[in-house]
Amino acid sequence: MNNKQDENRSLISDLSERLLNGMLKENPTLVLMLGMCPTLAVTTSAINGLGMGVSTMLVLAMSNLIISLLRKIIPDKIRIPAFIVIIASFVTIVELLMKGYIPSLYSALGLYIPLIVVNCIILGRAESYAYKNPALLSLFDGLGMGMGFTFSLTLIGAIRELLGSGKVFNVYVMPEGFVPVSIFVMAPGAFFVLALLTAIQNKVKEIGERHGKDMSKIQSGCGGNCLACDKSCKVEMIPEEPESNIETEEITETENITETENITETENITETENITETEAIPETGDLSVETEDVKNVKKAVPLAGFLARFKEKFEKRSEGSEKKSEAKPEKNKKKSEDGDKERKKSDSKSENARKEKSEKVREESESLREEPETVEEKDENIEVKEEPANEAVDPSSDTEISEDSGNNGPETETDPEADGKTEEKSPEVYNDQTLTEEPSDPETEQTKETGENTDSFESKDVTETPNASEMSEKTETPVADITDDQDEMEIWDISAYKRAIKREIPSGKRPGKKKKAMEKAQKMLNSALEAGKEDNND
Amino acid sequence: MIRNLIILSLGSALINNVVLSQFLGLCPFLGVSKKIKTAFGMGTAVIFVITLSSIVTGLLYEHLLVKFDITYLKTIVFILVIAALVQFVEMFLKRFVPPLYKALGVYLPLITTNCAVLGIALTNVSKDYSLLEGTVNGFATAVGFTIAIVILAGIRKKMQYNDIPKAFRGMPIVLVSAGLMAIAFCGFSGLL
Repeated sequence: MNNKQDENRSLISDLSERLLNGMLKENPTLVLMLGMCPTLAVTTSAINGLGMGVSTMLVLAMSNLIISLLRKIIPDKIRIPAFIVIIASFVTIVELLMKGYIPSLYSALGLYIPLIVVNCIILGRAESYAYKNPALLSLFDGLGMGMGFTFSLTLIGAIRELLGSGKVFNVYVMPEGFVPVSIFVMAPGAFFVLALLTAIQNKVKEIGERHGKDMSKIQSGCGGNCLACDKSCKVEMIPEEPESNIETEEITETENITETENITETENITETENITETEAIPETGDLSVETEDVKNVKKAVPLAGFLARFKEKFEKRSEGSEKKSEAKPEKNKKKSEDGDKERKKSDSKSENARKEKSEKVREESESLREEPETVEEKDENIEVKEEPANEAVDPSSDTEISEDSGNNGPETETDPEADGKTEEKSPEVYNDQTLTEEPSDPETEQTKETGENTDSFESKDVTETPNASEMSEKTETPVADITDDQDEMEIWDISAYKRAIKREIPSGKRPGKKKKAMEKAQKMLNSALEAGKEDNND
Repeated sequence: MIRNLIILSLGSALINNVVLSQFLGLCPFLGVSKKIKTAFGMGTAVIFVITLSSIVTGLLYEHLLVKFDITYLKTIVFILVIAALVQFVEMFLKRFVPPLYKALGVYLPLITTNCAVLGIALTNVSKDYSLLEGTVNGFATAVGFTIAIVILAGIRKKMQYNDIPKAFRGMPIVLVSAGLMAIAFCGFSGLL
C-alpha cells in the first residue's frame, strides 16, 4: 500500500517536474529561442498569441503522446518522416477544429496554423523526449513545453499590443494621453521586441555566468542554432543526453545528407563558443596590452583548428565507416611515416594521461563552460607541438597556421572521438610541452601537470610570455578568440572553408599539390584575418 | 496577363516580403546572413527549391487533391512532398550536375525545414493561383528572400566595425537592423 502511494507520489512529482521544466527551465521561446517564426508573426495582440500558443500546445501534447505510444513500432530509420506525418495530422485536426469553432481566430492566424508543422519545438521534443520516454511523461512534457510557449507568446503579444495600441486583450489600459506607437503592431515591431528580449537574455546569461551558474542552455538567438530547425533541437539536448549526438549523425547518414552532419557539429562548436565568450572576458586581463598582430594570430589559429578538424572529418568519411579503435592505429601509422617515433610515444602517453585525468575531472565535476575553451586550446597546442619536431619554427605565424591546416588532419583525429570530458585536462600536456619546448620528455611534463590543477591558463601564459612569446600567443589564442569572435564564427563560413579545403587538399600526398593547397589555405586564412580585424577596435 | 504577373511578382518580392513582413524563413535569414557570399548562395538555393516546389505542389494539388476531393490533406501532403523533393533534388544534382551541387549542396538539406517553402505552397493554394501564377509567385517570393538576406549580410558586415552595447552584440543588433529594414520595406507598399 505504501509502495503504491510512493509510486504515485514520485510519478506526480515527475509529471510536475516536466511541466515546470517546459514552462521555466527550458522555456522554448524565452530560453531556447525556438520556433521564432510564429512567435514574431502572430504576436500582434495578446489574444492571437494565446490562440497560437494553445493550438501549438495541443499539437505538441498530442503528437508527443502518440509518438511515445508508437515509439516501439516506428522503425528507427524512418522516424523523422513518421514524426512529420503524425504532427501534420494533428495540425490538420487543430486547423479544421479552429476553422469550425473559432473562425475569427482562424482568419487572424491564417497561414501560421498549418505552419505549426515546421515549428522546430514540436519535432525537437518528439525526437529528444517523446521517442525515448513513456507516454504519460511525454504527454506532460508536451503540455509543459506548450504552456511555456503559450505563456511567452501571450507575454510578447501583450507587450506589443500595449505599446502599439494601448490595449491588452482588447481592453484599453493606458492613460488618456498615451499615443500608440503603432509600429509595434506592425511587422518591424516584432523584430524590435525580439531584439529587446534577446538583449535581456544576453544580460541575464552574463550575470548568471558571473555568479558561476551554468547558463549553457540559454541560446543567444535563433540564428545561431535554428538553421536546420529539427537538427538544432537535437543538438540542444546534448547536455542532457550525450547519446543524442550520435543519433543525429545516424539520421543524417541514413538520409544521405552528408553535409548536415558536419553542420550540426559546427553548430555545436559555435554554440559552445558562444557560451564561453562572455565568461572569458573578465579573465584575460592582459588582453588590452596585446598588439594587433597577436590578435590576428588569435583570430587565425582557432580557425586552423577548425580546418584541421574538418579535414580530419572528411578523411574519416572517405575511409568509410571506420570505428574509433581502427582510427587510432591509422593515426599512428601516419606518424611513423614521418619517422618520428618519440613523438608518437609521447602522444600515446599523453593520451593515457588524458584518460586518467578525465576521470579525476569528472569527479571534480567541472562546469560545462570550461570544456569548449580547452577543446580549442588542445587543438592549438597540438599544432604548436607539431612544429618543433617537423620543421624549424617559422617566425611568421601566418604560414605556420596554413601548414597546420594542411598537415594536421591526422594528428587531431582523436579529438572529436575523445569523450568531451577527457579533453578537459589534456591541454596542459601540450601546453607544458610547448612552453618548455621539450616534446621528447613527456613524463616529466605529465608529472608536472598532475601536480597542477586545471587552474587558469591565463596566469600560466602571462608568466611565460617573455620567454616564448610566440608560444604563449598561441596558447592564449582560443580564449581571446572566443572573446573576440563572439558571433563571427559563422558556421556557414566554416562549412565553406571546409568545402574549399576538401577541394583543395588532394588525397594523394604529393608535395607539389600539397604546397599549392597550403597556399590556398593560407589565402583563405588571410581573408579570414581581414574579416576579423574589426575586433581590434574593442 | 503579363502585367498581372509583373504586379504579382513585385508584390510578393518587395511589398509582402517573405521575411520582413511575413516572418517566414526567419531562421536562415538570421543564421546565414553573416557573409554576403553565403547569403547569396542560400538565396540561390531557396529560389531553386521554392520555384520547383511551387510547380510540384501546384501540380499535385490540381491533379490529385482536388480531383479526389481531399484538399484538407494538403498540409500533410505538401510537407512530405517538399521533404522528399529536396532530398531528390540533392541526389539528382550530386549525380548529374556536380557544379550546381557544389554551389548549392550545403544549403539544400537545410531548406527542408524552412517554413517559407511550405508557406508559399500553402499560400498558392489558399489564394487559388493557377500553376503559372503560383510558380511566378514562388519565384518572386524567393527573390524577395534573396534580396533581404543579401542586404542584411551587407549591413552586418558594416556593423562589425561598430561599437555596440555589450548586451546587444550578436543577435539583438541583427534583429534591430532587420526591424529597420522592415520599416524600409514598408515604403514599397506605395509602389502599386
